[in-house]
Amino acid sequence: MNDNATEIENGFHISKLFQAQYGLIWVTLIMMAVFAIASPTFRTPGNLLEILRQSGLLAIMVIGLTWIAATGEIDVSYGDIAAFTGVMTAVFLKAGLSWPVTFVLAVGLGSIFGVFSGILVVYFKFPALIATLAVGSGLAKSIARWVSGGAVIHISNPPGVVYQIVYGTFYGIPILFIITLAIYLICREFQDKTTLGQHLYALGENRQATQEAGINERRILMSLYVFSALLASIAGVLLTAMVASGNPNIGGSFFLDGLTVVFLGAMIIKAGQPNVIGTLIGVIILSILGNGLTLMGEYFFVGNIVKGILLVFGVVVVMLARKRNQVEGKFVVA
Amino acid sequence: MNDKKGMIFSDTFKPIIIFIMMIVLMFILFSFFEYDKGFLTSRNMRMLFTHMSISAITALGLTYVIAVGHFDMSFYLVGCLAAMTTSYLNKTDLMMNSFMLGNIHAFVIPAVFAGIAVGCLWGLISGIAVGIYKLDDMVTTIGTGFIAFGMAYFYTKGSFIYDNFLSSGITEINDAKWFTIPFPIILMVGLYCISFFILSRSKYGRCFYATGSNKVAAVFSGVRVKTYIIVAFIICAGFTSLAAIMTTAAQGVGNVKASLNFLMPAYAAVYIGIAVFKKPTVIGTFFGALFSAIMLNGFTLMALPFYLGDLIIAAAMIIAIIASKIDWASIKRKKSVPAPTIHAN
Repeated sequence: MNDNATEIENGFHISKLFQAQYGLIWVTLIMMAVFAIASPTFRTPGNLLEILRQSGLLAIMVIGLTWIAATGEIDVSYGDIAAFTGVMTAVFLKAGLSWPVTFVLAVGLGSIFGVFSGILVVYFKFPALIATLAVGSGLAKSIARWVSGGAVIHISNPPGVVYQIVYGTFYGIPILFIITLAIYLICREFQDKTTLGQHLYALGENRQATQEAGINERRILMSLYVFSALLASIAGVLLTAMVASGNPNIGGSFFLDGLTVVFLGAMIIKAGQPNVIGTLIGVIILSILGNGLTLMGEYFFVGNIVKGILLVFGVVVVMLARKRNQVEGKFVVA
Repeated sequence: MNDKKGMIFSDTFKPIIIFIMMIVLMFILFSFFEYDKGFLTSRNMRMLFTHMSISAITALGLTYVIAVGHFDMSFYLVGCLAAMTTSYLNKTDLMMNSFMLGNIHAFVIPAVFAGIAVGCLWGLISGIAVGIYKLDDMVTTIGTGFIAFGMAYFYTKGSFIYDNFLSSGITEINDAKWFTIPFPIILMVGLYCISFFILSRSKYGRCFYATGSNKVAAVFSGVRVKTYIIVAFIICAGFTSLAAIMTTAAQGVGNVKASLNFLMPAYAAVYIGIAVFKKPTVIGTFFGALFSAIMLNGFTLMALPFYLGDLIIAAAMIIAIIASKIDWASIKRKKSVPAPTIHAN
C-alpha cells in the first residue's frame, strides 16, 4: 500500500481515479445520483446535511473497532457498551446530576467494559469474538437492562450547550459532524504519522514478527480495547442527548452497521486494511444508503439485506488485496 | 499423566467427573434453597430439559463449526428465516387440505423440512464463502446472516403469523410425548447420540478435528478440508433451524425474531464445554448446555427477571474459561508458564 501512497503523491493522473481503491467512491456517486433523481426530498440541502449529522454518532462509535480490526482482532461489544452508557446517562440525569458530571461518570463506567474485554483477550487469551460477545451482549446489555428495569428511560431535552452539540449547526454544517471530523483527523494523524500507528498494521500483518521485533503487543491490544469502549461510551452519551432517552436494547441496531462501515472503509485509501478515513467515508455511504432507501419508501429490512451484501463484498475485496500484497511463492492450502 | 501405572481416571473421564460434580452441586444448592418452589419435581425437570433441548441442539450444531476451527455468527439469524419459512408454509391452504396423520396434518412434515432446508442452504453459502474462498469467517457470516434475517421479513413484512397454528398440529413438535417424555428431549438425546458417534467415535470426527487443528497438515493427510468446513456450516445452520422451528412450535406463533436470542447460550454452552474438556466435544457441549439450563431454571424459580439470564450465562462462561486458563500447578511453584491456547487456527 505504501507503493500506492507514494504513487499518488508523485503525480496526479486521471487514470488513478479509476483504481480499485477509489471504486467505492464511484459507487457512492452513482448511488447518490440515482437517489437524487428518484426522490426530490433527497436532493434538498437540508436532507444532505442531516445525513452528515446522523453519521456522526456511528462514526465516533467505530474508530476503536477500525483499529482493532486492523490488528486482526475483532470487537462486537461497541453497540451494547453505547447502549449501557446511554442508560447510565439517563439514570444519572434523573438522579439530578449535572451534564458534565454525568458525562464523566457514564464514560468512565463504560470504559470499564473495555478494560475487562482487554484483560480477557490479552491476559487470558480468550478468542476476541467470545470475550467481546460475553462482555457486550452478555454483561453490558444485561446490566443496562437491570439498571433500567428492562424499559426505556425518558429524560427531558438537554440544556443549551449539549443541545447545540447534537442538533446545532455552524454556518449550516452540523456541529456534531465537525466534532466527528476533528476526531477523525486527529486519529488519522496518529495512525499514519506515529510509530504506534504503524505498529497496529504490523500486528495485523504478522504477529510473530511483531513480537520478535520487540513491540509490546499486549499493551497495544489492551489500550485499543479500552479506547474502543471509551469512544463507544462517548457515542452512547451523545445518543441519549440526541433522542432524550436511554434504551438498553438499542445496541443491536449498531452491530451490523459498525462492522459494515469498517470493512467497506477497508476498501478505500489503504487497499485491504481498515483505516479511519475509510471508515468515515463508509459511515457516510451507509447513511446515504439508509436515508435514500427510507425516502424511496423501502422497508427497513431491505437496508439489512443491502448492508449484508456490502459487508460480504467488502470482505471479498479486503481478502483479494491481502492476497496480492502477500509475498509470492508462498504455499497456499489447496 | 496417563502413562503412570495405577492411574484410575484417564484424561477423558476427569473432565466428565468435574462436570458431574459441578452439576450435582448446583442440584443440591437449588433443591436446598427452592424445595418449596418445586425445583425437584418431575414437572419442573421435564420443563428444564424441554427448555434445554433448544439451546442444546443449537450449541451442538455450533460445536461442529468450532471443531473445524471457525466461528459462525450467522446461525441465530438463519434460524429466524427457517422458522418464518415453516410458519409461512403452515399458513398456506396446502396445509389444511392435506390428509391427517394421527392428530397432525401431513403437510407439517414437509413444511418443517423445507424450513430446515432453507437454513442448510444458508449454511452452504457461508461454508463455501469460508471454506473455498477463505473469507474471514466472523465478518462474512455476519454478512450472510443479516441477509437471511432481512429475507425473513419478506414473508409478512415483520408481523406475526398466527394462522393455522392451533389446527395444523405443528405445535405437536413441542407438545408430543412418548412415555411421558416430551418430544424435544427425545430429539435432543437422539441428535446428541448421533453426533457423539460421528465426532468422537468415527474417522469423520477425526477429520473434523484435524481440519480444526492444522489445515495444512490435514490436507497432506488426505483430509478433504473444504468439504468438512462446508459440512460443518451446513450442520450448524440445519440444527439451529430445527431449534428455531421448535421454538416457533412452543410459542405457537410465527415470529421473525424466533431465534434472535440463541447467540449467547450457544456460545456459552460450547465454551463451557471447551473450558473443561480443552477441545470442542459433544459431551462437553451437552454438559455446558445442561449447566446453563439448570442455572437459568433455578434462578427463574427464584423469580429473577428474564434479562438477567444472559448475564448469568456470560458470567459462568467467563469464569469457566478463566479457571481453565489458570495453570494451578504453576501457581504453587511460583513459575509463570504461558497459558495454552484452546484455538489452533
